[in-house]
Amino acid sequence: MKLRELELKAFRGAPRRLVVRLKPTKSHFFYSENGRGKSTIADAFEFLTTGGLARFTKEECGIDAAINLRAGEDATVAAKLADPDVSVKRALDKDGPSDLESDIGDLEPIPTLRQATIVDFMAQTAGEKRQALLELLDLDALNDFRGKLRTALGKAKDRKKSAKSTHKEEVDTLEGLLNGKDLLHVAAKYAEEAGVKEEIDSPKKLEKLELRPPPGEPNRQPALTELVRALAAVSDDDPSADWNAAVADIEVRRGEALSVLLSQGSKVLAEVWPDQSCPLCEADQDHDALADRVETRAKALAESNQRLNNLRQRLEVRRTASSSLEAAIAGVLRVAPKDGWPSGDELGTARDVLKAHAETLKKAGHELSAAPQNPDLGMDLEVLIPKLQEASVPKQSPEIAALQRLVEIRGVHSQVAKRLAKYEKTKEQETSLKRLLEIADETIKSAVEESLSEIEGLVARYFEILMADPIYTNVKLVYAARRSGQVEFSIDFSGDPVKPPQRIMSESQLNALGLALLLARVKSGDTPWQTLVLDDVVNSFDSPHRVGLIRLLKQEFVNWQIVIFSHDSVFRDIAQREAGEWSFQEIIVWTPDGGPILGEGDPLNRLQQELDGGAGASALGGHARRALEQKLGKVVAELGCRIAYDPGGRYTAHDLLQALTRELKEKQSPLAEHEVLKRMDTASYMATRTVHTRTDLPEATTDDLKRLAADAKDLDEVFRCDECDKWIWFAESETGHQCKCGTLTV
Amino acid sequence: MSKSATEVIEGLFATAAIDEVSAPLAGPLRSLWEEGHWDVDGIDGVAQADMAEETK
Repeated sequence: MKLRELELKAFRGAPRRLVVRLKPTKSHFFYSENGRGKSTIADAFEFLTTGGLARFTKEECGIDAAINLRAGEDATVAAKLADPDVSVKRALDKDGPSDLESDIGDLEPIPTLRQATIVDFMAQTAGEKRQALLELLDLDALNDFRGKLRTALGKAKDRKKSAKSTHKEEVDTLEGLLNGKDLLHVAAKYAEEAGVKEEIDSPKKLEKLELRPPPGEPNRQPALTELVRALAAVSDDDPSADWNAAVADIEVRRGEALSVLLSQGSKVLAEVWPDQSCPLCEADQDHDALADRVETRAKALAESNQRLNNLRQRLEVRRTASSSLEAAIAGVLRVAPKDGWPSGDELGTARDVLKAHAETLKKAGHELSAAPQNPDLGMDLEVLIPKLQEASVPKQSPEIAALQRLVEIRGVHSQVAKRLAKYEKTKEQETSLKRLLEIADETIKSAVEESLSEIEGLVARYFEILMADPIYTNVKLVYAARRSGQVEFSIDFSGDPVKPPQRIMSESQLNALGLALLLARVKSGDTPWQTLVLDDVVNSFDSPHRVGLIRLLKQEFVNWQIVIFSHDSVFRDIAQREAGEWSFQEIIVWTPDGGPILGEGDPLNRLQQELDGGAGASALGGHARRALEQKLGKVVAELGCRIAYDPGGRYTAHDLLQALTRELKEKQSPLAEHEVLKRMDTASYMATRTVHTRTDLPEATTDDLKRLAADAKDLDEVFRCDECDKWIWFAESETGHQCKCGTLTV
Repeated sequence: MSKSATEVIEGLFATAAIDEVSAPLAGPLRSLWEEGHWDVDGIDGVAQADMAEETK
């Protein structure tokens, strides 16, 4: 498939209809200075087949920016193809490109190489080159696949990191709870629960279940707890007063009982000895009443004895409590008192008092004469007990607090277990995704190496032709699927392998290497096109490389339709010398309203046709400039007029007119004063943008252009002989030139 | 003739080494690609779904 014609309108730098005619059997070289529309035409090839422009995409520029602003209409690019002979067309409006109008469906992109493509490729890092190479090999979908997988892997890693961090926080919380002072009970209960030891599967954690004071601090908890309990026990009503009252009471009752017994005794004696008077009976006694009294007194005495026994038991309890409190205080005294606690002195005094009190109580239990008193502990228990309870942790009973803590620990432990499971899952996922990425890398590496092996020979051969210098040999592309993957050239320099080639090769040589690769890919690819577009690819090439490129294209792309765009006149000259059979065209001018003008056909005729067709002056400036420059340039060239050398041959009509009139005047030719030349010299169009590129000059009018066209035609008559109808440069004369008949001389 | 990108990825999912990827991930990921939804959110969604299933 090749191209016969490309037509663009309102596209990029071409506001008007521009037709580029191509011969399928020929290669074409389009030359122009920069800014005259080469890339507009090259872009049209790409847009037609792809509906986009890669460099616009790269620069994040919408494709609608390809619509020419001055055109005032939507853009279109159309083409006539050869083999098959079909026409295709694609439009572009502000909403984007249309589908391709085509009888053969979508078209594969026309192979196009640009200088930027080559330079970018060679200047990229190995990782970027890998992406570029995959694109080149039509395997860029693999990089996309890999890239998304890698990003997702990054997310999985973040998730694992987050789960790990949360898990650690919860473990810390759990360990903090397990390390609490009040957990002796928790440890006991926890140990009773099935599976606790298995769940906390670390000996260290199990060890932490035991209650322990913070490092460096004595464990006050048991002593304090015991002190609170002991104080609570002794704060009950003290039995001492009751004891003393009971002892006094029983003494009275015993006296009474003895008195009654004595009375009873005299009665008994009187009965035994009736005639004897009873020394104890002083009067007749009512023996029955006396018996009642004895019984009552005995009963009261028994009650008092019972009361005394009860009180004795209370005394014993009290004694035990006092002993416990004494022991508790002694326990507290064994650990260092803390600020706010009862002082050691207070507790010491209390302990001594309690000790004495307990001894008194013990003695009272055995001897009724003992009279224990309420002990003075030197402290207000109503104040002290709440204070101690406050200092004691927990405020409630240790068992209740332990149970509460147990519930809390179980909750956290459950969370920890879930979080651990999640963390383990994230690790597993990360491992899996990482493995999948490795598989992708291995697969991509294999695929790339397979593709590279197919073109490696071509790359080496093309590079050899381009370089025309055997110092670099054995060109290879080396692919390494490391973390991000990389690809690099290796090359032998004087027989020694060098990688990367940047170490020894010039920029021009590197670009030649890149071009060899890109051309090899085009040649070995399965594109249906036999058209290859090269847009300014030789910027950094020296002359030998440029010769090499033309030779390579001629040798290796036989029957291909090569379309080259270049601003380089030296390259054009080389191409003309090396490939004279190619078609060479120049984009002679570009104006904002007229766009690029191809140097094909007679520019004056084209100008006249456009004027006759009613075209506006603003769109015809390029044609006018070209027509005038061509007419004047031909005369100047034929007459050999001296003119300052310009390597690019960039002469304005004004330059040419000045050179011509100067020459004629120096040779004292009357033609120097010819009215046409004078009219040209003073004509307004010479001072307009028709013949100059300066934007500060006024635009030419339609009348200016009609005048210019007429003057350009008249110029022929000035230098053509009316007699023999031959040009003045028909023959050389002694002084210069003359027509055939010699009537016209200069 | 070298393989296309599609053929390469098909081969990737068919390789024996894919067994080393967790089955709850490998299957859905393959489906994701086959259905043309191979993007970061899709891949991450597969991982999240697997996570939810595991820890629910």
